[in-house]
Amino acid sequence: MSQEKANTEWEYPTVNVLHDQALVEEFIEGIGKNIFIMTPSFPYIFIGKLVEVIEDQAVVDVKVTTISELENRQWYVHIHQIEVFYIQQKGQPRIPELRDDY
Amino acid sequence: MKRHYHVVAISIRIVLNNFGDYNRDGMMYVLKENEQKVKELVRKNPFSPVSLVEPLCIRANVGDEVEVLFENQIHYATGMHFQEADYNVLNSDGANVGLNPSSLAETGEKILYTLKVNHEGVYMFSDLGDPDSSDEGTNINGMFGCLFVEPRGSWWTDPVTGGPLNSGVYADVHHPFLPSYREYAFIFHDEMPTKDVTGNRPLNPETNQERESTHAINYRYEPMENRARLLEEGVVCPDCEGEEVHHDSWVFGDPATPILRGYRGDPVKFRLVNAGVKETHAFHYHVHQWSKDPKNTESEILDAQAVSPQSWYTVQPHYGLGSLQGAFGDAILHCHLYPHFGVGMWGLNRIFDTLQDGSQCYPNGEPIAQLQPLPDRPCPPMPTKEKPGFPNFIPGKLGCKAPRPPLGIVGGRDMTKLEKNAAIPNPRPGSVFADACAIAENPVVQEFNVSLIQLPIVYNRQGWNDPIGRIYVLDEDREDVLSGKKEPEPLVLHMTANSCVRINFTNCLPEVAAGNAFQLVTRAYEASFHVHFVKFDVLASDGSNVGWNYDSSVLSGETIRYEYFADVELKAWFFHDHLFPGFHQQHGVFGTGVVHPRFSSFLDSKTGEEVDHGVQITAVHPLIPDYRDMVLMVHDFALLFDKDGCPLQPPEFPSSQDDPGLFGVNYKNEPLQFRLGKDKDPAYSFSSFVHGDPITPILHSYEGDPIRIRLLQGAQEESHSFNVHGLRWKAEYPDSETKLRDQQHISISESFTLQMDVPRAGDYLWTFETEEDLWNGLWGLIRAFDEEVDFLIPLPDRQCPPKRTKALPEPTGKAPAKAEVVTSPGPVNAPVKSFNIVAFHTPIIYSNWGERDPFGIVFALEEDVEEILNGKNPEPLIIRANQGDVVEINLTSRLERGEFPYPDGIWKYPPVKEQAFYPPSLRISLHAQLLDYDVKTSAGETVGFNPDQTVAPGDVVTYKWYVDNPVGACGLWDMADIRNHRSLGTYGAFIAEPKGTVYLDPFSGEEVETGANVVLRNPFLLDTREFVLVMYDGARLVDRKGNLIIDPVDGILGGVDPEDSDDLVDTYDNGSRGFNYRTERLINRLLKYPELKDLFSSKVFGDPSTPLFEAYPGDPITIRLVNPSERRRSHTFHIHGHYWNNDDKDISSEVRSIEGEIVTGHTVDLPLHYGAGSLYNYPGDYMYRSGNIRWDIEQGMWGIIRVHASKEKHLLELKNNNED
Amino acid sequence: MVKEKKPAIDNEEIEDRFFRELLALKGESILLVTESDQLNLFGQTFRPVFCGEIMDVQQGQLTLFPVNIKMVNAPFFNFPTPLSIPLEKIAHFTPDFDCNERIPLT
Repeated sequence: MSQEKANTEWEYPTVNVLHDQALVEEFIEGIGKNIFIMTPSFPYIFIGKLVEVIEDQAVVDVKVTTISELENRQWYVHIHQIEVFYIQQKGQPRIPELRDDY
Repeated sequence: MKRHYHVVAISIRIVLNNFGDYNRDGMMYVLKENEQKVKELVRKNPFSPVSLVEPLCIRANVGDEVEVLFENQIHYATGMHFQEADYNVLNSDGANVGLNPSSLAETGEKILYTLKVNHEGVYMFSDLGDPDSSDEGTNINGMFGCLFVEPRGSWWTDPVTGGPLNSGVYADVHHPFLPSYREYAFIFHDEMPTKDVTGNRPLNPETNQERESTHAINYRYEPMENRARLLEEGVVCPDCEGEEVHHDSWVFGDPATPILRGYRGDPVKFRLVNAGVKETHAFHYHVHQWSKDPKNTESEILDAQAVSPQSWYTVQPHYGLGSLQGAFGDAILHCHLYPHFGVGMWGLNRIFDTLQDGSQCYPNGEPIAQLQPLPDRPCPPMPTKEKPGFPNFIPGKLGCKAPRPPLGIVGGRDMTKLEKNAAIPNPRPGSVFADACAIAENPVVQEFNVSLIQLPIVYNRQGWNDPIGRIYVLDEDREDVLSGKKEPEPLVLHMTANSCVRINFTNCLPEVAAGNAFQLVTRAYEASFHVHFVKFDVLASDGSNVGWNYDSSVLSGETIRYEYFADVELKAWFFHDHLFPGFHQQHGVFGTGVVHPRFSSFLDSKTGEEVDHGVQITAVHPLIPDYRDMVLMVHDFALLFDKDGCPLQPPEFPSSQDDPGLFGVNYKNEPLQFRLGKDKDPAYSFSSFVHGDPITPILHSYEGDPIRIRLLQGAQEESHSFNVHGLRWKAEYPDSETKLRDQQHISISESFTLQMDVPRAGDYLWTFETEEDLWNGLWGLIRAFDEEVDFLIPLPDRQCPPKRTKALPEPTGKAPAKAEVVTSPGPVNAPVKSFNIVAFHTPIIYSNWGERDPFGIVFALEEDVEEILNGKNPEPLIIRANQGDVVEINLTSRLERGEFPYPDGIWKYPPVKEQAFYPPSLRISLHAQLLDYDVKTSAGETVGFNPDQTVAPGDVVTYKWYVDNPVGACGLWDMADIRNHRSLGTYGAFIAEPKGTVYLDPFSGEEVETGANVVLRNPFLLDTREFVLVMYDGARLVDRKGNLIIDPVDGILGGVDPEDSDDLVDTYDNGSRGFNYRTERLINRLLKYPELKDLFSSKVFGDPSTPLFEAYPGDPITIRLVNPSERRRSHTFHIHGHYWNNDDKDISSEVRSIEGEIVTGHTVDLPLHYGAGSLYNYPGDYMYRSGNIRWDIEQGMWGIIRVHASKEKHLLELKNNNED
Repeated sequence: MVKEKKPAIDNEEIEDRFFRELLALKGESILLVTESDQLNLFGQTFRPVFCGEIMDVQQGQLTLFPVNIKMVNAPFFNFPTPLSIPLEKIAHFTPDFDCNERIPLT
């Protein structure tokens, strides 16, 4: 068995794999920061704190999304499904607050 | 978030314009905090409009809970019924329906409505305590308003002060993640009883007759007739008479109607609402375009939208104010129905190019109110002396007509210094202040020389003609058309996307015309070329004379140059004159430009030569499929004379706007009264074997060709219903996820592109199918040849058609035989579902109050006939099959002579224009919508050179349909006799269900063959309740005593003033109406217990005679709605407390609780979101109804969906909440 | 098929010319379109067409700021924060694009 494993093909990683992996690395570096996510899949928006990264899933404590019933809970968001995002950095614009109490 | 509003309903005097036209008995909703203020202001200003007197517009965000404390100060019970919202129907419905407790408030009382608002949009509210259609009703007098629901997280400010805003028709809406936008409420309403400032019914000074009904926006209207008096009295330029001049602010100052202000580029949302009681209005907005469905980026582009009573749309102009080209100036918005436009249903969108801080004035000295720039947009530049900004660089003179634009007119003037400063870098004729053609770097440039000419036009072979036809032609065709060498037809220009289009327009009309039974002598001395859809400089190329803009038209004999940019494939853009349209548009002053995909070329379909204009052409493209392009332009108010010079359908007095004249399509018609033939059998009216081809357009293609039909309406005031029999197109043609349709409602200025291919050879009927339209000749053919013909080139990218082996068919004068072989397009081993259907006479009892039709004709399954003849009250035939099934129909007729109401062969009631002899046919047929079949055997009609598909008594005809798609609701109706059968009930429905579905009786659980109320069971889907509503109108009923019921007049609650009764009702308002051969006319209820507030209550009157549908909370429900019936007044459909996707095949489409513009041939499937009781599954009685107060609701077009709180013995539960 | 066992991946040694290309474009203004049909921001749907200056490039994503979302009804709307776009989500882009240019979007 182990013989087979040792002889398992190791292929030169494709550039897609590199990009995907690097993206995961960035999310890992962003753990603890606030994040804004847009995805084509319902409910389309997640805003909250990035608490963990498990393989290619970002675990987000979601404070705001399109409908209130899906907020204030933890979401596992598939990193490679995210179309556009922003991890809030020091010295850069803050993700605006969405207030419900005007 | 929770919001709280305290709203009061008050009676108040409403002054609609600065001339003092007013409604003494106005009613409105107002915030409590403004109540005293508005009453005080009105008291102090009895003769001028008060800005606080406007429809109440309040706001909330998606996800909010909204509490409305409603206080009723009207002298009888009223309420606030909200569309779209989620609420407990037992306490917040704003109505008193069925077995619900009343949620109306008595006089002086208050009631608390609690709503959740869960989708963006317009939640219109209105009173349902008084559904009376008379002038004393509530809605008609102004009792309506809107709750606008914005995206979550929004807040709003006053556009003038920038401060907070509690209510108001205009607001600037902001959001942390989205662009700020200007929100404009644009609320149409009609029929408001109005007097002039002297307290009399307003008169039209031109005709000396009573003015057209009031048609207004946000409680304001600016009738031509008032302003005309200022011209007459010489207060302003007396030589300025005309139609369009009444929009000119140089002459009259700004109108009292809404002026929606913004800066160039501002994002905007119009909340377009029809709070009216009767008419379907046609909203048109100059210069701008928007997506039909703002939630769908693949939605088609519109620049005109029909909106029926109690419907709404959100209009988000692409690229913001000024559109892609950054235009600025006044863009007029109006109802395009000319009599409405003329009586004042218009407003202005004023787009500024300089900052307005309150320090500037208009040319007449009126101060320009401050306008806050939107906070996330660049601030517009401050006005300076050299560049004062619009409108202060325009060299106009007060009290005189606006000047002509610089550079445009041949032989006209150059720019003034101020105009030069305001102009673009390279100003040229047609593009002076905005450069649309500069958007692309090197656009294709196409120039057309167009003239407007006058000539007599003959509409049909009987010689019906318009002696003063007026049409656009290319200059190069002018001689040929005037001499008769070329047949007059609407001018259709063709161009590709990314084209800069230049029009050199010459007005060749004689100045003076008419002076006949239809119209007073009129001096129409200027004309223009006003366009839709394409991008242009509104100041130089609008072809109009509005607000503070120029008058971009020309006098007789002059030429003006316009320039436009067709940026993308824009479908067909409408063009017409904007200066005297009320006078001459119905004479033919309309045409269209078709924008094709880039890199297309256009060929003459006969010769293959390149062309740039033509009603029917062949479009060729290197990469996308070649197609045939065909234009159909319908119009009404066609003022025709017969061959002896007698006027046809003249109005009561010349220049009356009360429905004069008849109809045409591409200036032709083929009335059915002339297609009776020797046998005098209406069944063959469409057959070319018997009567030859119609003179109306026949669209030619070969079998398999892709085709695009450009559907437009040229004139003048009415809705029409376009149907194609045997073909279907996508509802949203740029989108793949969309439903299929074969019918389209159209009103003036709307434009639709219907893309499809013609799968099999044969003749396909197209028609504007309401009874009066079809009777008077609005139909034609799409002819697909199977073999080559020498007058049609093949499409270059398709295989050549086989060489002709048989001669083309010719008229024989004799009816054709039945088809010998009937096959379906389905696969050979498809399951076959057979139905043996019989059409026969039987009385139908329409209600528990005794209304009935003794002459009813129904379709039924053979096995059910006996039961019906023995007394079972029939319902319309509703049959079903699944996707993949082949449906075989074996149809027989048992119609008999002498069983029809009008033995002399002239059908009197409900009436149509041009009544004539047309004796009832004993033959019958059955046409189905939306299914796949060969029109030569199974379209259910005998059309063109197709074989006979009608059947005589004693014989059987077979049709084979293939259910290729689970299209849902399909209308079924007879085509053997469109005059004498339809009012008697010859229609039904077919539902195409998903594969594997069985249909069960909701009470017994047994499988059923027919029925309006079933449970759909499918192994992969939830059990769903299916409620089928067959909406009908134009029925002919008698009362208990056997007297003919003349609806709506006999059903109007408050009775009708004999003085009014002649003018009150148009032909197409006549007839009884309801659902599924049932009606619940409120007059019966009122006569029994005269309490308006109880009229819908089952506690007082028992349940209505219309279908009562029952469910348990949370049950999935799909409503299938069809209108296979006959009248041209379009209806709105609304269900209380529930909503659905606009396009049931597109989950991201807009969510609404109304379906509008319903007219003959309309089909729609409404899977209700969240099931019975909506999101919160509240039990109770939910009314389903028309949105038309005049005259549908009163006449019985309503019913109840009852959601039971607890299990009922008679109603089985669905198997969804599985207890396994 | 047996291949030689290779040492652990050392990213710097792996050639990613696209990444280097993007690094060279840092500071430039580009027009970029991502994969999906449409995105939805609190009910505002739009095609994912973005225009902006490349502020940062990493091997997994590029970040635009200021960034203009070309919404059809508001084509010059600047989003309040920078937006990072995973490289694998890019459908296509064009460099040296002036975000103030007017283009048709339908």
